[in-house]
Amino acid sequence: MVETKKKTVITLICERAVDLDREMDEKGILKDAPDVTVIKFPCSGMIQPLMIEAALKAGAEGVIVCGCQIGDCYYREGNKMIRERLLGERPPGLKKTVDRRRVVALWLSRLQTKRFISEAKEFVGHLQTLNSITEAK
Amino acid sequence: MSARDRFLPIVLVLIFAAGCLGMTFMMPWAEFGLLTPSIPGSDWGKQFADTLGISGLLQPAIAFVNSNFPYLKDDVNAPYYVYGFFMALALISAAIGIAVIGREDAEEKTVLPLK
Amino acid sequence: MVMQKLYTDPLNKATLWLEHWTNVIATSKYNPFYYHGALPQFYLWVLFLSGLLLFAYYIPTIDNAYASERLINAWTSVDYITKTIPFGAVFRGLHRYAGDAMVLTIILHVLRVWFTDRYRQYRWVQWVSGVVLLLAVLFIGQTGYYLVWDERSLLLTRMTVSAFESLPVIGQPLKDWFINGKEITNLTLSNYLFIHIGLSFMLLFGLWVHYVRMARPVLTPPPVINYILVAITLAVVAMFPIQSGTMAQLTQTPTSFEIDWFFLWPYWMMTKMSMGFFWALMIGAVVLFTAVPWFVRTKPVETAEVVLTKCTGCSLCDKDCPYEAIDMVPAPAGSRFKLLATVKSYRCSGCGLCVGACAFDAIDLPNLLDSDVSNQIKAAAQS
Repeated sequence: MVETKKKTVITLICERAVDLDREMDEKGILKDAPDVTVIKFPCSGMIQPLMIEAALKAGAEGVIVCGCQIGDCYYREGNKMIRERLLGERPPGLKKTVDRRRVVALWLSRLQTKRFISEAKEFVGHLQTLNSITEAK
Repeated sequence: MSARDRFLPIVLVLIFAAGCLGMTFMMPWAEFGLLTPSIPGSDWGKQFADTLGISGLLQPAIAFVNSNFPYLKDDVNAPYYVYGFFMALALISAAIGIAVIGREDAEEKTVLPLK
Repeated sequence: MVMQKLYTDPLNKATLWLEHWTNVIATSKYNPFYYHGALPQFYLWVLFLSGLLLFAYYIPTIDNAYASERLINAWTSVDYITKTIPFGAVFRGLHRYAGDAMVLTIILHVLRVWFTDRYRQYRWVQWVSGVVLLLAVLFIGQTGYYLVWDERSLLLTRMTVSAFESLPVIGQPLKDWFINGKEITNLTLSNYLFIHIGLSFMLLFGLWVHYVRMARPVLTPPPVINYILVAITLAVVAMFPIQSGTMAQLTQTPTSFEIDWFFLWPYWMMTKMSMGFFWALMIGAVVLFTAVPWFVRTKPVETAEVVLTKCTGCSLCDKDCPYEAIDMVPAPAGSRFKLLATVKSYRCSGCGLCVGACAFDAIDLPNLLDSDVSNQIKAAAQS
């Protein structure tokens, strides 16, 4: 069995959404889930589908997109826009080749830190099962 | 979704639907003045209730109105106010009923559909 | 950084906490805080509809022939609406309490945008037009109290007249305009009716200014919230039925009245201080309130910039910009494309939604370039 290089899960997050400042180190790696690296944006609406594709292409295991609760965007519509883009309801969308099982979106308010951590861990686990299925093939 | 998770909303919706319908039926009786016996209501409304044999069913509602709206005793508009009040209750039950079903659409997590 | 300061602000923290728990109970779909601007807008429609019914029966005169058995004037027409028309009293109550509710929801709206820092910089037009709208709503509500023409109306009219008369230069003409002549006549009430209804329609113009810098403003709450808003108002109508006052008599001098704290607080203030002080306080408060967006000094927004060589003129950023800050203009001669995006920097919030909308990396935030983000992502993925 070939030892695979340890891969990361990248979180693209709105800086006004769930508060992770105390949960990560200066590199953006979550203390409780060291597989997850956080990259902040002024608004989740700034996240391009291209960035998600680039992350997966560069070898990331999966991507978590995180914005504020739907209805509560500081810039009015950012989280609704990226949500629609991810679902293919608004251009530009994700390319067909992108493995949609490796992308998940969360809409959490600033106080839902615990929820985020548990969802992130669950996603990491989900990706591991995905990998074992592909390896088995 | 487990059977229990499915069951609970349905029961809640049924309870609220029954409440909503009940309140809606209360409204015309309130308008006829049947719920405010101190005020002369329309005769045919009373007769109608007697013919249907549901005058007894209105007793709790009459008691409720009499104990909660004593200041309406001498107000010609009492039936209309009471009608409005029951309409408010019906609207609130309807709102809760809709929200119980509709809250499932609120999402905190979006899983992308496979293509 | 502004962000850090904002999140240590206790008022913002309290708002976030309140909204979080509302989400837990009602979910984000039915969270009234997420429709804070649409709530007063909904009450405006309630007021227009209930007001239409009242308008159909209202007679704006003060005729007061003592001998007449069948007296027809403003007060008797309101009395007729209340006592004779089916549901007239309910509609009258709905009109009164929906007005109060509108002021209440406007206050909620103001507090939320204030506490969550959604009122400054590129949003100053919304704040200033909002102050004007609030003043107009208060004045319209007050004229509603003059229209019923009971003793309170007469007293309020006289207090307003003396308040206007105390103003230098413009005082006299303002008073003459207000009571439509030199003294209180039938024409006074026509003017009140015109102010009450005419100014209400002017609100729509004010709202246009309020909304003009926002793409797709949220105008209506979901039906569940609308039901509850109407239900609360109806319940209040039944629980606190409106009591008609005594008909106004010009020969009498009423001295006290019940206060509606949502609309009539300025009259309460008038009784507590001199007119000069009253006007100074009111004007000062309005000026201060209007200037709130400029109290906090922060560095200006770093606005989005179009990369001229990359823009294909596809206009996706124009469609998605939530502040209508992007315009499509004809591309310069020699370009391969027909259109070119341009940013109106005075409207731009620097949110980056246009960056997310662009499939060609042709628009950038100067403080967070596309290429920097890509490098960050690559570094993180390969570490």
